[in-house]
Amino acid sequence: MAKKAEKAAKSANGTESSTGQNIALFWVLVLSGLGIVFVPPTMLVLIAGMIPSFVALLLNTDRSGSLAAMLAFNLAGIIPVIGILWERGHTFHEAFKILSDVYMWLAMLGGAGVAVFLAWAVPVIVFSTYELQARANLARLQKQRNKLIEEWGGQFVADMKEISQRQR
Amino acid sequence: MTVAEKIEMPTKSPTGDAGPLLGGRFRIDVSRRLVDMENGDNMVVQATDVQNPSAEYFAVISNPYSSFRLAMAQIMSEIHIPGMVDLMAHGKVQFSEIEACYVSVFEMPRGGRLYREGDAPLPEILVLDLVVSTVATCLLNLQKNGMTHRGIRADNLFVADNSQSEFLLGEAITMAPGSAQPAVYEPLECVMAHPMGRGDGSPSDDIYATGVLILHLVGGKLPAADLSPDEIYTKKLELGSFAALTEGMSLSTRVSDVLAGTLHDDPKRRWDAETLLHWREAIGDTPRRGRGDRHAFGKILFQSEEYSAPRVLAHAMTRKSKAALELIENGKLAKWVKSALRDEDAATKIEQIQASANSSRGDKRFDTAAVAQAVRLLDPDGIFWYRNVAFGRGALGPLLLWAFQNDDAEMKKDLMELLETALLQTVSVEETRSSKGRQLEWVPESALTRCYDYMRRKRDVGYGLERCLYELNPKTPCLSPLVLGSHVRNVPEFIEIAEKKLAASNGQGNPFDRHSAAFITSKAKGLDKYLRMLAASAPGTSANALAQIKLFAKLQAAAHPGPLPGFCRWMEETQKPVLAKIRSRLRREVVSQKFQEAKKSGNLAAILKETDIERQLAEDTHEYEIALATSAESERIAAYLEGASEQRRQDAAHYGIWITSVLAITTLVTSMTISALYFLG
Repeated sequence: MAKKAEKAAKSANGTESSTGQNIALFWVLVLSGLGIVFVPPTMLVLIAGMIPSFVALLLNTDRSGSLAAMLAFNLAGIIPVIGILWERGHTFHEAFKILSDVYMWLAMLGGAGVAVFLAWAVPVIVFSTYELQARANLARLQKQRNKLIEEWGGQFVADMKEISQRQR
Repeated sequence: MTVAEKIEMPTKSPTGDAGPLLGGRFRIDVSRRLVDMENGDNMVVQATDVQNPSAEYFAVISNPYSSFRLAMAQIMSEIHIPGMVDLMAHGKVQFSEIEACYVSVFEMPRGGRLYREGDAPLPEILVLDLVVSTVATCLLNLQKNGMTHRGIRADNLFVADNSQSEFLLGEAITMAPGSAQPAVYEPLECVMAHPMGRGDGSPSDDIYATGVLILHLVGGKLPAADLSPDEIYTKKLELGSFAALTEGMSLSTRVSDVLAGTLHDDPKRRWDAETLLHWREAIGDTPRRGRGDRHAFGKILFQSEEYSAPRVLAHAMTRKSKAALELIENGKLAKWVKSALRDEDAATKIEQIQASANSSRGDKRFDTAAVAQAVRLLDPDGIFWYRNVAFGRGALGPLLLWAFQNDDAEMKKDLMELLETALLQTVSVEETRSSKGRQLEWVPESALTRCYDYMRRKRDVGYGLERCLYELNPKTPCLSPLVLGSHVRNVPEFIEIAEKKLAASNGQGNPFDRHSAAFITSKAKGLDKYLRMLAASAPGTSANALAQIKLFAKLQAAAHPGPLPGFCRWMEETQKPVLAKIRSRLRREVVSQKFQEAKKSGNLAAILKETDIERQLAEDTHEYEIALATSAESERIAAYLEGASEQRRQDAAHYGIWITSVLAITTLVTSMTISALYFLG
């Protein structure tokens, strides 16, 4: 019964998530369509710059947070490039010129690179912090226990053992 | 080794040559022992009067287990009893700081003993003219003062001076009444009683003893010396005392007549002291001789023997109690008493016993009680019998003392059983209801009831047979091993002596053994609360130790307000299990320090107040539980932390992604803002 309810809840969540994704995809397609029609050079640079995000999307790592970070960092790197494109005159020629500039690629892919680095490094750093914290806590507990044994004597250890055995 | 053998009687004077003084006047010289004068466990030494050094006295140093006849001593110290050694003084004498005994000083009969066993018979004229008149005069005076001698025998008769013209009866107050008497000197009523259980008896018992004394002196040997008490009793019952004791002796008519009057088996028909004093007139009407036990109109078969005398049957029944019970249960005894003895009342009572015995088959105590009651009905004037003990109605106390002195386990068991049942109360009430005069013979009913109550809590300290001992012997000093030999009569003295002993032994010793507990609780009031606490805790436990300490703190406050360093040392020793119960090392140290500080005051109550041990124990227990709970929780958390590495990894991953996302969004917004400002601005 409980399993059934869990399954139902999962499926409900899945449905909600896919609906949300569909809506987002719909707007992305609409905006992309509109972009291709009205600002094709921008769309060219954008699609080329977003390749790392598309790759991440295709790899389907099941880590929506990482994907979002990748998209955001990637986009953060592309926006100045698009600004340059618009500043130089928003043409295919300029777009291709920009796409042939290695620094422009560095700017666009650098954002994705930073995203990849952060997605790997931040959890490691947080885990290390957690581990240090846990060890400190263990040391504090051990110290407290030693103090109690010193205060209450050998009988305390025996009683503790008994309590532990009873709990098991 | 018995307890009595362990008692050390004083052997030397504390101040060298000069011994201690009794009443500031009589010097007790323990180095000059008069073994010849000794009887029982008491020690006899020479005494001198510091006011009159030429006078000669002897002092009886009482064994703590001796039954001292205080009432008689008080009368004797006030009045002179002619024909008896004078009691000059009596009281507690301190032989050393802790050694003390009860001492009685008597006038020394300078002529020594009148007769010693093995001496030639005394001339009849001497015996009848001098001895009889001396004894009769003495008895007459004793009787006037409501006393009995109970020590009239050949070796207790002295020559007052060297002229051999005046005789004196020896003392009879430093021992249980009749306890030194050979069985033959005792009349039928108490011959079978335990020597210590003969009781004060009646003046006629002294007359009887005088008769045997005459026979002893005139005959030159102890009558019936070759017979056991059992044989003497049986022979006296069968033949009558006169015939039994004079068998084979050639006596003059005068002596025979005097003996017939004094040895009559019926106390009512026996001469009194007045008649004895004027025996020459009394023998004018030749006195009738006693015929032993009365004879029934028919016989009863018991254990293949036919009996026609109730006392003889009663005696046989005490020897074969199982068969006696059968005789009661099958109704033959009641029938015989009714038809052959013609005693309707006794027969009805035996029928009632029979009915009760039949309805409670198998209960050994009830069976014994049934036999005891039947025996009493057959021999109403005889001793009280129960299993292996037999005693006069008022002599339970001295008997109990003897049982403790000799550590007689069997007797103690029998007495315990007897006091546990309400048999004594039942018999006492029944006898005193039928005859008011018998009330004086009995141990007071209130005392019996209290003993019954004490025996109901016999396992608890302060109760049991020891408490009965002090209830039935209110003048007996405390017999606790700690203070034995110090003649402790009350709680202040107990505290004082125990303090000295404990101080000398550095607190090693037990001031609250079963004897001291019974003694203290019998002398002091308001200790029930502590006794209940003691009863509720097993010996050796901290609760028990604490209850003991509290009890002595109360006693100190009430009876000995001064400092008690010895008791404080004992408290320190006793409190060890209590302190050991404090689990916290720190608290234990604090309490010990407080104890050491408070110990200096020598006040147990102050120590208890300062250390506040009960609150400390309660707090310690509470804190221990908290510590255990804390430790258990710590352990649980530690175990969780040690095993939750993977969980932390997952958490770190989630949190890391969240941080990355936040950074990403922030970067995106920043990028958009800067780009907008740069390119559009």
